[in-house]
Amino acid sequence: MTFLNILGFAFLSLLMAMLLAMLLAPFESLSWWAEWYPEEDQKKVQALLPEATASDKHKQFIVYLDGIYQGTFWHLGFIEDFLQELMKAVPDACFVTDIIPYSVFNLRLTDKVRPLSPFWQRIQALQNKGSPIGFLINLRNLFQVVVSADRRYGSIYNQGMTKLILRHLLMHGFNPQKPVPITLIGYSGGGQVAAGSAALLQRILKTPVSVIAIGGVMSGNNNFLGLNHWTQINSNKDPVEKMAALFFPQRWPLLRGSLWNKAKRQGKVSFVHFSGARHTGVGCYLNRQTESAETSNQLERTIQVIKKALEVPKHIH
Amino acid sequence: MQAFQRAVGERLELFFGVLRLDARSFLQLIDLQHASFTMLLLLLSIGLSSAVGQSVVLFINRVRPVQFVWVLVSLGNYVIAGLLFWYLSTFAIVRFFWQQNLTWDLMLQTLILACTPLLFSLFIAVPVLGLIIELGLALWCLLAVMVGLTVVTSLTLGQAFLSAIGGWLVYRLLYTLFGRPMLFVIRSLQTRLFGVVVTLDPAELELRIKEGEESLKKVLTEYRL
Repeated sequence: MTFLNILGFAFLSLLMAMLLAMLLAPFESLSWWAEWYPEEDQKKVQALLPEATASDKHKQFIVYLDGIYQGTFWHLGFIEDFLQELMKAVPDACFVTDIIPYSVFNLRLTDKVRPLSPFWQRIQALQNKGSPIGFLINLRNLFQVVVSADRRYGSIYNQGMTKLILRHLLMHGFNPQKPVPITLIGYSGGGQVAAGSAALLQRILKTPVSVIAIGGVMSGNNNFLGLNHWTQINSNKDPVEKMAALFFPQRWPLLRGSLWNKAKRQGKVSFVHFSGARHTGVGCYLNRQTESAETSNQLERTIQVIKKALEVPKHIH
Repeated sequence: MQAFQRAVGERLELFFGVLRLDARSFLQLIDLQHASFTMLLLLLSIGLSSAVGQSVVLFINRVRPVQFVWVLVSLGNYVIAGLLFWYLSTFAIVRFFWQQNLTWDLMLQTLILACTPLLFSLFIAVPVLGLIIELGLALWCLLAVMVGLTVVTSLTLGQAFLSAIGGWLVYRLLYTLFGRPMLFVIRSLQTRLFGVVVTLDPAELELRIKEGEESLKKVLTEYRL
């Protein structure tokens, strides 16, 4: 066997493995839809309901949907830092940060209920140590983003996520009788999950639902017209956000009839361009740490942009 | 055992040849001993693979895990039935329009072989890329049909192309005319056999998804606030 044969075989095996993983990606949301597993968390959620509803105390709800690295309820250090800063900056808001946007059951990848949990436990451990193999979690969650954006599976996945967000809003004291505005903050792939759920949430809760997508990766066929406002934060040094705009044809300016382009024309979408912010890690939108003394602190700027976006007039069309 | 392994290896090699659109592989497979059995296996595998590729409809229908395999097999049969109707219409065009002296079984074997790329149709279920894969497989099959028809008839590539497209158009016309009643019969059969109501009608499937959106409102009443 020549070196080229081995290389070819390895490439083919990798391609088949990727295709198989993508093939199985919709299974979780489809089995949720088909009611193959009982939803046991209802009683637990009810037990957690606060006595006084938070809607009476808070002027708005902010739901944070994390990026595709997330396999458990833990956020990376700089994300925790960002959330703490944001909570200080917007004290009148109730924050929902305990959602895993890549599982309609809100299940950790390492949860024992999952057949592959031993595998994910090892990968998670490697990710925690900074090993590149931890990227498998990103890949798995990226496939969920693709499921959410798919024409056939999207509406099912997005209904699952909407239900999850609804439950968590109620769990945190959202009062549907006295609804207050909601903002979904989607970081990276969380942007697609927010895009898939926002309009549906707005229709069900009859309250304005806006989205702030930080380096947002989303398709252009989501119902952008049915939500209050979309703020897209991007940067000249963020290739991931740019690639998403290329990967999904409905985001191409050429397709004027797409929901994304219609929403842009109706003024429902606004862009905030950052200079020098990376997609993730040091120097990213949410990180206090910078690559050099000359580059500014992106975290502070992001907080300011979010504060300003939260002031966008809110109304239901 | 060795003979069996050799036979399997030989057939696999020929199938790879068909996938590469190699005309000789078509002829060699048709001339094989027990060719009909090989074709039947191929057809069943294509049916099953296509059924997996379209299995999203079974999930939308909320088919339970116990019934899933049976309903999947019946969906495979439905795919095979569709292919057979397409064979019939293509055969009619080749035989009566182009005046080719061709037996039914030779035509059937050729067209089944030409559908070999559909063995990969389970990958149609891949999110987003599935639609591109579906288009790619359809084009691959079209090319294979053209090669296959030129091997067993005296048709040119252009005539073979027209036969394949014409056959498909006639099949779609028949499906538009008789598809709905056929779906109704299949649904009644499935309901009787598996105790589950399965719809394959795109409009009805969309309606079920919409109903799901409406049912989300129930979440608000689940909690006494």
